[in-house]
Amino acid sequence: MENINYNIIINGADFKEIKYLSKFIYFSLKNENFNASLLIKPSSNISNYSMAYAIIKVGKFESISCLQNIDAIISLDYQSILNYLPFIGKNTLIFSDYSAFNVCDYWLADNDTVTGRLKEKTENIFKIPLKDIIDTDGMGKNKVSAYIALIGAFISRSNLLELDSILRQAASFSKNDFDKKNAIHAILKGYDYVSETAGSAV
Amino acid sequence: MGIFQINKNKGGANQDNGYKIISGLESILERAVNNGINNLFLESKLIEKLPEVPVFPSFNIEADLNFLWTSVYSLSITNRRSLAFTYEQSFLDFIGLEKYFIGNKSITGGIVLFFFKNSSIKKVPFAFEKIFPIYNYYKLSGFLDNLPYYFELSEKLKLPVLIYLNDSVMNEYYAYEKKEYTERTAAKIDFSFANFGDNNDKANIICDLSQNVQLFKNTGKHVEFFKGNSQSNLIFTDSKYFHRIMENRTFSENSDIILFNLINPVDYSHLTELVKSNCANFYKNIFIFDDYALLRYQLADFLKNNKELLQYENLKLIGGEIKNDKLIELGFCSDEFTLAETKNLKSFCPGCTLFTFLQALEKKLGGRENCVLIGDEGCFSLIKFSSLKFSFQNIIVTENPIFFSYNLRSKNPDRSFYIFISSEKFSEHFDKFIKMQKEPNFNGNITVVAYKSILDFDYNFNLESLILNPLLKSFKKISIKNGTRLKDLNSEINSPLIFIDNNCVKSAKTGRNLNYISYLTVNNSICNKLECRLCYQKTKCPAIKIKENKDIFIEPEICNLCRLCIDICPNNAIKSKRRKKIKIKKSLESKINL
Repeated sequence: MENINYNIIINGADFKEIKYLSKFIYFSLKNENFNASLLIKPSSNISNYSMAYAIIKVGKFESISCLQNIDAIISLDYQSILNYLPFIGKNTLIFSDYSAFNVCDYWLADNDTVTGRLKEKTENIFKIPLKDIIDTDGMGKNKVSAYIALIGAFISRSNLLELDSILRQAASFSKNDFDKKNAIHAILKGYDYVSETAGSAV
Repeated sequence: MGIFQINKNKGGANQDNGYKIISGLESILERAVNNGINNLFLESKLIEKLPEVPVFPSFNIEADLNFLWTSVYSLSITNRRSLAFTYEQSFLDFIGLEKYFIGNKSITGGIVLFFFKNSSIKKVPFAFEKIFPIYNYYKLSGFLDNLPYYFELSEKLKLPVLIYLNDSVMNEYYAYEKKEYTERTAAKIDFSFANFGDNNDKANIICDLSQNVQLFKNTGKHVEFFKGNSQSNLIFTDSKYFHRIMENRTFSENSDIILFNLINPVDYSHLTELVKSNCANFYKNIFIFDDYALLRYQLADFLKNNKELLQYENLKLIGGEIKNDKLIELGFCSDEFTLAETKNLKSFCPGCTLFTFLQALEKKLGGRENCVLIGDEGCFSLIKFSSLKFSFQNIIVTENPIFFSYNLRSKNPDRSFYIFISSEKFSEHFDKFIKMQKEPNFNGNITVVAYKSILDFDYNFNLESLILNPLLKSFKKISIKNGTRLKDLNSEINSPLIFIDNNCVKSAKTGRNLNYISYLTVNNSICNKLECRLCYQKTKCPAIKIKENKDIFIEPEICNLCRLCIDICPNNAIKSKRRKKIKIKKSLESKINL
């Protein structure tokens, strides 16, 4: 376990959501006795709504020279992945929401050109249409954010964590039983969507 | 009359003996330049007293005294010596005297001030004679040779040295020998790691730290210190120092680095256990970088109480200023760490009332030349970064806009000035504002706008107490409430004093509202025809998103319901709706407990 080096980046426009997701992964790593650490940063000092990112590092600090390579990117916004382009290697996994896009980046580049540029670096790009998969209106009072499904997608592809440990974490985060049920359903849907498209990354 | 006689002989004496007969002021300056001091200042009022004003390339004659003293102070921080001739009163009346020159650790000294006494001397509030080293002289020859000594003295004491001169000294002439002086003693950087290198007595650890904290902040050279060490270290770092350490590879390979953060669970209890336990056999040095003072106070108590337990060669706490808890939450991560250039520029927060006020002002004024906006460095300075280009022609951003406008004399009576200042700063400079209003000389219209800024230190600042101040009773004033919309604002702009309330911190921190009641919808059949996209371009709101088929929609979970986009949209395509209650059929699944 000591020799593991793993960098995960969570990226998006919603600071609160990123804080929640990164804590989710971080604590489930800690429960499995991984040597993990976390850093969250909003890119602007003024408005918490603008772009933010979180870095989760697994392994000894000294062995990683700051950020030479990223192993996985979980992104709430598709086009802003281009910010991490110099750090993406052959084996990086990219999981992104593909149902809604932030307008700020949309007018600067097309979605197709973004995929073209990302494919030059890796072929493991997973576009997940969260709005189609998960019906948040059907959840009633105990709503759960749809982005949890991205974590399920991340687990199905990486060998870092098992599904059990994430589900246990979801159970400990939730307030009541209905909340717990919705969260677990959302994670499983993300997990299934990626595993069904096995071998053929979009 | 004797002076003039010598003055006539000046040329002759110069040729015969290799001497140059010069005035008293010039002789001091010559000696100072030969000693390597290039920053020379003279108060402009003093010129009336002097018989001659010498011409030096680096000789500054200053009329603005605030500028003079701040420049002397800033030179001293960067290890440069300076020399000034002023009236005594101008130094003692300087506003920042106590803040800058007395007990300031960042000052490195190297300041020598020559004073002349004024005829009318006011009383000084404190006994400055006991603080500064002071000398009195009536003759040039008495002190001219001691000049380099004074600079050394002020560097040792880290205080300016004051020298009182009689008027006769300036009118005196001095036979100046042409020779090169080699008395120059270089201004040394007073930065040594002596306190860090050998710590034999562990009782003094905490006392030593408090001395060295400032040095670390000013120079930023702490990283070089560790290069020589090849022993095994244990390093706890704040996120601020972490990247510096990693990138510069300052520590040896045997060392382990631990990063702690607000969210990170390496907290006080973990740390004390680590320090207590037998890891002293393994680690010889422990370094704790703690810039945000998350651990420092608790650890300092722990170290005091358990001196016998500690068996390390080095155990150090390294940190910066004490900061408010609220500030840490906003920007607790390192500023120097950048992944790649992000395209997002800074912008106003969505729903900001200052922003709507500026828009209303723009509607009213248009691109008039006579209108000048003067603002501070708070939220107002975002006007330059904002994606929407305002049509204001004259925008000035200064540190202190009231002070700036206090010195302003406009000749054009039609010109109108708008001064934007954050309410916290406004309460600080309240006296100057009232002085400014009483002054009859001023031409033109001034309106002062005090707004609540997110960059203010005190978030809980009470604006109402400022509005109800009895000194403001005679002024016409208007207070704009939080969340007023653009169409309601247009009639309210005409007033000399305007207060803008803003619910900044709350609106910036509200996260996802999953159980929202009302939400906004976009009529895409209208929107797609025209493709103006003004709603995004003006507000830069992150809640406005786009689908794959280029339909725009507003994500209700992020939306703040400020309704700014409704006001901006020229085609009325955006409307607000109330959410209907959804009834879920009770199924078997919902009854099962997972």
